Amino acid sequence: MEDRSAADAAVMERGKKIGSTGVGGGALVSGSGKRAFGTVLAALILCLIGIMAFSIRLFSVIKYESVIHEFDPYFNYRVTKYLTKAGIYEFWNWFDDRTWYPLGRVIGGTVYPGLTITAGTMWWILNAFNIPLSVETVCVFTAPIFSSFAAWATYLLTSEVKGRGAGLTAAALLAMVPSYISRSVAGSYDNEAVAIFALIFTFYLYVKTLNTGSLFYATLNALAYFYMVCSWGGYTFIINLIPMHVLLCIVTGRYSSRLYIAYAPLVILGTLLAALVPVVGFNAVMTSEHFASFLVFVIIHVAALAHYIKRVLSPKQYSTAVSFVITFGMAGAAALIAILAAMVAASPTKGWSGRSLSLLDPTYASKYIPIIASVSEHQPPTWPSYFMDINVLAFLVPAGIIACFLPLSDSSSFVVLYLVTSVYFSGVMVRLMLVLAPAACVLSGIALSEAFAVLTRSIKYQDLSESAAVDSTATLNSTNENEASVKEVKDKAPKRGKKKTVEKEVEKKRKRLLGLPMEASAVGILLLIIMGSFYVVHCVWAAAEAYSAPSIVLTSQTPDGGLHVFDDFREAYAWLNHNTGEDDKVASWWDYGYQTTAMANRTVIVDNNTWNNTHIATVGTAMSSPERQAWEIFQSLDVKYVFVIFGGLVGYPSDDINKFLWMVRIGGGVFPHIREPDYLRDGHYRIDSQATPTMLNCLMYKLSYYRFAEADGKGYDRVRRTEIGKKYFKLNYFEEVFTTQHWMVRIYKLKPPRNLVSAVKSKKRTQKKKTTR
Amino acid sequence: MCAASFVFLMATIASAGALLDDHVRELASLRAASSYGVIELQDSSLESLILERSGLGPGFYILFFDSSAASGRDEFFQSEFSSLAYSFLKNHAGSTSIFFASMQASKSPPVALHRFNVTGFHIPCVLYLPPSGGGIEVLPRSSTAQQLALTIRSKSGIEIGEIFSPPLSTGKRIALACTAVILACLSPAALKAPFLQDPKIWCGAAITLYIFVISGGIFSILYQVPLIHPRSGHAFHREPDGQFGAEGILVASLYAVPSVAISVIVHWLPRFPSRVMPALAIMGVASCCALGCLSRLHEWKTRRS
Repeated sequence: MEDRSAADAAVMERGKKIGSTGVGGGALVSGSGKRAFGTVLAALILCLIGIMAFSIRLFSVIKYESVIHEFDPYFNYRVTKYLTKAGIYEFWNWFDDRTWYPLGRVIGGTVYPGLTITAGTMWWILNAFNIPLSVETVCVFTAPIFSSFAAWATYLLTSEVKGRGAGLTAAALLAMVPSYISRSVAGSYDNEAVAIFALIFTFYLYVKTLNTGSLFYATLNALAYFYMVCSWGGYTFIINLIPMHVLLCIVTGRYSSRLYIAYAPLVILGTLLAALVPVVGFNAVMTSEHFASFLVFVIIHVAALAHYIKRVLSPKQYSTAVSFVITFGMAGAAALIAILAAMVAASPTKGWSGRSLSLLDPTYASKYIPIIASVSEHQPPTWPSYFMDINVLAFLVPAGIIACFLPLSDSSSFVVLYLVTSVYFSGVMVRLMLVLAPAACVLSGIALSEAFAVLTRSIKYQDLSESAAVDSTATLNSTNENEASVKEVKDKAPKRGKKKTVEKEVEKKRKRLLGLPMEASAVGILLLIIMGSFYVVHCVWAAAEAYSAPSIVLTSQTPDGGLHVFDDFREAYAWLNHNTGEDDKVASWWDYGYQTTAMANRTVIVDNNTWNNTHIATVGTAMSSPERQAWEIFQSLDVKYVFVIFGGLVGYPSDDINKFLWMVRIGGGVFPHIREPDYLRDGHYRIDSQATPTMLNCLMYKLSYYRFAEADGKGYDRVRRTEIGKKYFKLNYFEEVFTTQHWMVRIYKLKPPRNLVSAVKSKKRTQKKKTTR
Repeated sequence: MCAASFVFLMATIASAGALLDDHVRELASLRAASSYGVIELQDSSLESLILERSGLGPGFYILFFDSSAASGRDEFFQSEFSSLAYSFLKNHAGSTSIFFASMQASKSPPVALHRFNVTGFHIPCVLYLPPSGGGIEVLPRSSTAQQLALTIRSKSGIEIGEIFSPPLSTGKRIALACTAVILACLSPAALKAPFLQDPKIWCGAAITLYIFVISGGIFSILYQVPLIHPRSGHAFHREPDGQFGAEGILVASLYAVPSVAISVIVHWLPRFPSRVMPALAIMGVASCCALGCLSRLHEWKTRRS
């Protein structure tokens, strides 16, 4: 065990030396002065990386304005506002009656509070220092700030694996990797903003503990894990990846006391701390997501015991003990596993959550849980997604993997395992590309650093290499001459030994100094710089163009090169806020629930939390039903207003008609009278003249296309690129109360029952008249 | 139309639970002989027990039609149904208020299908029949056992109770035990196998998996995309949210070229000075070409320049 520790320490030391000659410039650092200079330079570079990570995420604020983005961030912002206003105790006990009417939602017990408490604390500290920033401003800039932290954490992690040069490269790559930028631009106030930092920092502390065997770092590791649990449901990735690595180490004979110290405190302290978070609670010990950690906890103790016994007993006694343990221990272990398996099998989902099952069996969600399958970020990605989100890192990662195997240490095997698991998960759900990005950056950083080290060393030691080659040849020749001259001597064995030793030393020296030709090295460096530039240009483009749009405000280029702003969403929410009663209930598809409660301050039926499938199915059924049935459903839910998102006039593709298939599927999953085939013509949802009668009469169609033909004269839908099937119709149970400037949000009010009776009577009267005629 | 089978679930709520007529006794005895409380119906039993008896008295009939060529989704539906029946039996031992039965659609007479207004499109499905025999309803296909239980409660007022998974069949148990024993016996030897101790194997496997995933391999498998477009024969999908199998293979090769080149240049080429220049030239050109191809292909798919 001690030999293994010494070997690992040597490997680590070697890695650090290699790393220190990486990007930094190539010299083998010697002397305290140079080391100090290197430290200061590294600190300076890290500061610049931090500034870059922060500033590259500000395009959204510069191009648009300081505003919260998308959907979930609005809920987080609303919760943070409540926290800063009411305090932490009120926050824990907060029952929100403005969502999921009439059920409500216990906010304190159902949110991951890490992000909210982090931003709330930042706001409180700033105010304590008389810096009067609004809660919204703090929320907007939380993600860029934590991106800097994440870059620094990446530096620490990679340094621990392959030295400082690789660390700096990896940090620089992470600071601008598009995959991470997509979830951390200014205004993207979501859990992942702080969780990625927590994830990398937890991994760093694990590797640090693994390398040092320090209980101090082990405790810090448990605390970092606690922060991660507070921040994001993705913490289950950590509590499965680390046990996998520990198991790998044990199986491959790399067990050490450092491994024990790195793992055991994490399981005990981490689980206890995780159970303190209300949203996790007893799930920390009762769900299958945490099962691996406890199983490996048992295994590592068995391994520790075996190592202890091996040290205490003689080899003969030890082999007897092993036979005894294998005989009885296997029986006990089999019984234990059988009991656990039976308990897990008793649960219909085998104790796993739907999202976790989707990761293990990628077809699970698409088959059984439409509400998970309906979310676009839960789909598997195609190759352009990888090219877009990690770009040239995709080519560098394999070289990083190989570098980690030359030689393999505990820490480098962890990084490889992290990459392999995260790349698989990203292949199942495009959303988890976010977890892959740090791993890709770490391995690319290692690869890039090693490549620069080889190329710069080749140039720097060109002359020395040549002379060394001459020297080594000379040495070999002289050895041969010596050998010939003493051929007559009978004692050959020592000579052979000497020859071997000399050859080994020569080979070692040659390997250290061998490099590539100077011209080739120069070209190689140039190519790497070009590739790096390509990466930087791509990242800046992604940050500025692809990922900076807040989705609440949209823009498009006018023919004269100007910018046209579509601010329909805020216009609609402001209208609801100013023109409806404070207790009025507003119905829409669940995507817009968080925004409605945060911006319009009105009660909603469903929102993005999607915790109650039946409730969402009720809204889906209403949208899929004919007008009268829909009116009855909404009336039963005490709904006053219904709004739909419509993109047909301006060509906005993420509108409700394009989401309609999920309303039908989710609604039909609970209410069987909603049958998808009724809405399909030749297997497609159509809204043109070929559309089915069910489709043309459903509420979604009517609310989207009401008066549409009057607006453009033809009823041409610019998203579906066709003329609509039913152009002129009247609404009997709903009345249009507001439509935004570009028709993107259309708000309707439910007619009260009194008017309904009149409508029915008038209809009957009309029919009578027709009959009389 | 795919070969479908027909599963028929019948639930009977007896009046006040006191008088068990022959009909109920017969169902109870069939249930006792069944696995997990699901009565396996045949043509004759379907006719005699349900079709002829509907409207017999206060009771509910729910019919479940199963597909013989079951896909994963159908299997799940069937297992959820079994869970529901098993849970009811476990929570209400001896109760005759609900009976669960199944039948393969291929064995069911057309008259039954017609009578219950079930077409091949519905199969597999759960039907719910009230005591009078009228008002048949098709329960949702994608429902879990919990959702089915809620639906039954809302319709019949009967609480199924906690949902349990049915125990594994004896055959499955034996198979599982045998697998566990074989794995337990073989795993120490397998772990010591030389090829598994070789880091090169692990390194190669990691790189292969990585390149497979980033070339969209999982997407291709999940959506079972064809190698090329079946009609036009095109190998490339224009939209960024789709790809064909051939496209994925090509992209994997393009990814592999610069990846291998960088690794070789950094780790192996310095050891062979005599072959450096030609190898560098070949790999440099190949890598640049691969990068250029990928970049252009990406621009073409995403319509960006």
